[in-house]
Order: sequence, then C-alpha cells, then structure tokens
Amino acid sequence: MRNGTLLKIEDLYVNFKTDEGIAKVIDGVSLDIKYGEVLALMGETGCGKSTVAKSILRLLPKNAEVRGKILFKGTNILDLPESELRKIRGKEIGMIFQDPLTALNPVFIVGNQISEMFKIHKLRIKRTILDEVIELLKNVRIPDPQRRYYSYPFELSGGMRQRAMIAMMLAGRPSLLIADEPTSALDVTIQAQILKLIMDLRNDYNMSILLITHDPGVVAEMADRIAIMYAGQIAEIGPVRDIFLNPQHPYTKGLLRALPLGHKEERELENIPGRVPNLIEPPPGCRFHPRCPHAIEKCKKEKPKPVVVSNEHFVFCHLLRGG
Amino acid sequence: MVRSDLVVVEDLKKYFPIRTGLFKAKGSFVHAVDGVSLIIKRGETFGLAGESGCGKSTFARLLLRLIEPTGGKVLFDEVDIFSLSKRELKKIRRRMGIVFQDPKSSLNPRMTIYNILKRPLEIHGLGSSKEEKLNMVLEILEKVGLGEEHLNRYPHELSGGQQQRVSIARAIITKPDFVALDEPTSALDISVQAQILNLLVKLQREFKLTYLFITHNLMVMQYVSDRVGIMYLGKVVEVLNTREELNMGRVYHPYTAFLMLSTPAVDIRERGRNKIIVPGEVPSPINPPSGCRFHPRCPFAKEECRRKEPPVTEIRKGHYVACHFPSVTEEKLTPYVEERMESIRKLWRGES
Repeated sequence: MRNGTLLKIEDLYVNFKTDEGIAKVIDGVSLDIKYGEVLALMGETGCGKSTVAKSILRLLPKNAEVRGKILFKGTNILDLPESELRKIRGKEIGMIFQDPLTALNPVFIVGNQISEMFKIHKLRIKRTILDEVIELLKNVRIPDPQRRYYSYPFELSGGMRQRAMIAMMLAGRPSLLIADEPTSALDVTIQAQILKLIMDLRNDYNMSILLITHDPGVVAEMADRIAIMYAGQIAEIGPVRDIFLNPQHPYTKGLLRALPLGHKEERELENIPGRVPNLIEPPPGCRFHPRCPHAIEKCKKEKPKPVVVSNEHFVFCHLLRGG
Repeated sequence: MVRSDLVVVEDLKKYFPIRTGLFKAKGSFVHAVDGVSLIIKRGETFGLAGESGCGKSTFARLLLRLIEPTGGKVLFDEVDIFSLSKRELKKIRRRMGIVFQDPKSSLNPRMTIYNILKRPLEIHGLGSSKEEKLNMVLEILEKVGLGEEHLNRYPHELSGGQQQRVSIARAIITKPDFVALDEPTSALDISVQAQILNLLVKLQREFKLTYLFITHNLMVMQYVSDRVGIMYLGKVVEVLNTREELNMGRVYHPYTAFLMLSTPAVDIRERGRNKIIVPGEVPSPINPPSGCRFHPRCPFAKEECRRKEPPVTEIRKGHYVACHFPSVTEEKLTPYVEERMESIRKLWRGES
C-alpha cells in the first residue's frame, strides 16, 4: 500500500443560490484522505456532508458556487475539463449511495448495467465482458451470479441491489470509494453483511473510503478517522478512538451523550438545545455557538482555528485554546 | 383493584391476500402476523423489535383495530375489541393513541396545528366550548415542548422534531391509557431522537401511559423499554425484561443474539474482534419456512427445527423463548452478546 495523501480538500466553500438568498452550505472545509484509509464524515441532516462528497465528484447542481481546491493525486478536480473529469469519476473514484434502487436503471438487467462500465471507461479486460461481470458479482458475494446477471433491479432484495451497485463501482478498480449512507436503508443483519463486504473489498482492492453517515455505530465499526461536521464547518477531526473516547468539541460531546446506550432509569439523554441554523444567515464565528452551553464572546465573532489535542486529533473550538 | 394487564393478545393473526393481475385473487397470503400472544402491563413500555417485514407495524394496527384480524383476540382492559360495535369501538379508541414514523405524511398538510389537535377533541366530544378546546390544545402543546406561537402554523413550517411533537400531542390529547409508537424516532437525527425519547419518557411518567414502542433500532429499544419482544417473520421469538436481561446480553434465541451482535453501537473498544454475522436474508412472509421460521438462517438448526415449530417456553421467570435448543445459543452466542453489552455500558457510564 502506498503512503501519502490520496485526496486533499483545501478551504472548500460551497454556496447555493436560492430564491430566499445565498445559502452558505460549506464554510471552509479542509481535510485529507490517505491511501488505504477510511475517513468518515459524520453529522446530522443538513450539515453539508453529502455536499462535500458531491463537490469531489462535481455532481453539484448548477446553482452551486464552489471555491477552494480538491486535489486528487495532486490534480485539482475543480479545474479539470469535463473530458478529463470523466476519466476519474466512476473509474478512479467510485460511488455508492443509500438507495441503490434509484441509482440502478429499472429497465435494464443488472449484468448489462455493470458491463456498461467496461465500455464507457474503455477498461482493459482479460476475458469476455460477461466473464468479468460474473467475476465482479462473485466478488461481492452475490449467490448464483450466472443467473443474477440477468436479473432486473426490482427482482433483487435491498441488500443484493447494494451488492450490485458495489460490483458496478468495483469495475473501474477505483482508488477512492465515496460511500454515502451505504447501509442506512438496510436492516441491521444485512447492514452488517454489507459493511463487512466493503471492508473486505477495501483490503482486496486497496481502496481508500470516504464514508458519509449520520450513524456513529457505523463509523465506530468502519472508520480510521472521523470528521464531525456541523452546519458546514468541521467541528472536530481525529482518529476514531480519540473521538469516541476523548471527544473535545461541545457538539461531539453532546452528540455522543445523546446516544441511547443504557436504560432510561439510569439517566436522561443529553439534550442539545435549539436547532440547526438557517444557512442563508448562518451565525457568525463558530456556527455552533448559539447552541453551545459554554460559548464565550469570541465564539460569536471569530471562526475557530484548529487546536491540536494529540497527534492527528484537532478541535475547532475557542474554549480549548491553551487549555 | 386495578388489573396489571392492560392489553392481552391471544393468538393474533393477520394474513393479507395477494392479488396478481387485474381483480384476480390468488390463493396465497402474506403471513404478516402469525399467532402472536403477549401481555402489555399497565404503565410499562413494551418494546417490539424486528427487521422490516416482520409484522411489527401490522401488529400495532391490530391492537387499535385499525385493521381487522384474520384470527385471535385482543383484550383491552378486559374488553374484546374485535367484538365491539362501531360506536363502542369509538368510545374505547379515546383511550388509545398512535404515533407513526413519518410525521410529514401523518399530519394533514392543509391543516394548522390547532386544527390538527382539535380534531380528536371533536371526534370524541371532549371540551364543551370553543374556549375549552383551545385551552386543552394549548395545554397539550406546552406538555410536548411547543407553544402558542405554533397554533396557526402548518406542518411544513415545523422541523421534523417539532412535527413529531405535534403527532405525539395529537395522540395524547384525549388522555389515553395506551399509546402505540411505531418507529417514532427512526426518521430523526440523533440529537432530535434524544429530545423525543426524553419527552416520551417524561409524558409516560406524568400521564401514567402504557406504551407499545415499535422500532428496528435495538439501541433505542434497550433505552426506552421495560420489556421487549423480538419478532421474526410474523412470530414473536423471545420476550424478556430489558434492564436485567436484554441490556446484560442475556438472550437465548439465536435471532435475538444475531440482531444484537449486528447492531453497530459505538463500542469502539471491541473493534477488530471477529464479528459474528448472520448469513442470508429474511425469507418471504408469503411462504414462510416450515418448522422454526429462522431455521434456514440459523447455523445451529437441526432436523427438528425444520419439521416442528418450537413451542414458547419460559426459561426464566418472565423470559420466554421460542427455540428448540436455547442452550446452544447460551453456549455459542450469549457470551459474546454479554461482552458486547458490557462494553457499551462502559461507554454509557463514561468509563474509558
């Protein structure tokens, strides 16, 4: 496995022009993904985690305005012409989504949809495309792949559809997989199977993974590092153990203490007061300050810079400065 | 004396016919709920957990007689609800409420919050004057953490959490004894989920409510319930006490154990251990497997499991299991579940 950085996002800003005004959805996000690493981007609805993913693939709608750099193997994706971008999207960077039924075309058999990948990206093959596709279906542990090749998406269960999506993604042998809530629509026993499959494939294919999720349980099982997002800003980033066992940002702490891990007779769940801000007029400074129980004057004015907690563990919070 | 059993369910069944083609009824049925017997005690939260299609939502609808059963009985405070006339049923419905998963689709988008909450009062003839109804609505809004400023709003103007508060207010405004909560927090973010769970616990204590809490999320289940039933393909496979048994990992049906081992639950210290994963997928409830319905996925299944449906046995006081060989689970899986739950408890207590 190679050392170094596969993807580097520098100072990403994304604004959406809407009828009500300009929504400042991503506010200066920087992060990097190393070769072979699983980085989780975790946060609640509307925190911008999917927008970051879509920025990487340049799949944002036309009303989006993107600033910053997204360096993939040293090349800024945001500067690439469409023709160059196509060589990366779907090939070097693969993607799977929450709902494979909407991502798969309902009127074509699964096998043909996977075959398309070989044709579109002009992938080198050793055998016939049919054999390649059946090999992929085997790799994602779809039972009876010869028969499943001819199945329509609606004939497959949710878990099998997600496997088919993964097979399609694998065709290009991507070095980065963006997985946007890959198991959120699945039952827990199936979720466990798919998570295990993704982790096995990451080893077999030497992939890095950017995992987008709202589920701390999935993060705890998969990620090497986590970035916690709140309202378009990164609140805290660090190795998975540090974040779960030694969280520093008031938002991370609140979120973890809001998890129902014990019984109601033992204690109440932590209540983070208030609600997610409107991003057309986001709070100045640290966007979490209106909900933060410890906010000081500075939090309302200045955006916090990262504070080093330990090796690789950074917190964007004024309260930790020098503390 | 008040009896401790509020809802008694006896051999409850609901089969849905499958129609293929235009107007053609074929002879097959979805066995959504297939012979469930259990008791919900006054004042408790009975949790019903299981994966999609196991019949848990159908079960909730049957308890309120929102749908008619294929067979079996539901006694609500000793009254057989399926024998009631329409008028009698309406009377007893005042004492039952229901909250659904998606507040967006269960609240009428054209009605203001005031009108939504006034409806149940009108239906049940509660509140003699307009003013009294308004006061009742205001009172319940305050109980669920909303206020007068929300009265004339429409559902779409509220956040998901606030909408769910309105659904809860609607369910309890008639001062019911019993509320069925069908995945009430599954569509919500973690911090909002916490707010709603806290609210439900508070309301239960204040109004002495009895809850049927349905969820697929075992972490939510182990927080909120007092007793739990685990459903698989229309059958309840295990019933147990939450705090002393479920949360300690003392489970004896292999499906319960697999569910608990599959649930991702931030027990970060346990990472890297070999995970135990249940193979296969849930079979179709149209032609459920013979014998024990879990046998095609059960790694411990023997010939008997294929042939004979396991009887429900009480293996400890109040702990029921429908499995031919619970001792196999006890030996092969229970220790792992216990270990896992211990690790989660440590995180909960803040021990690192």
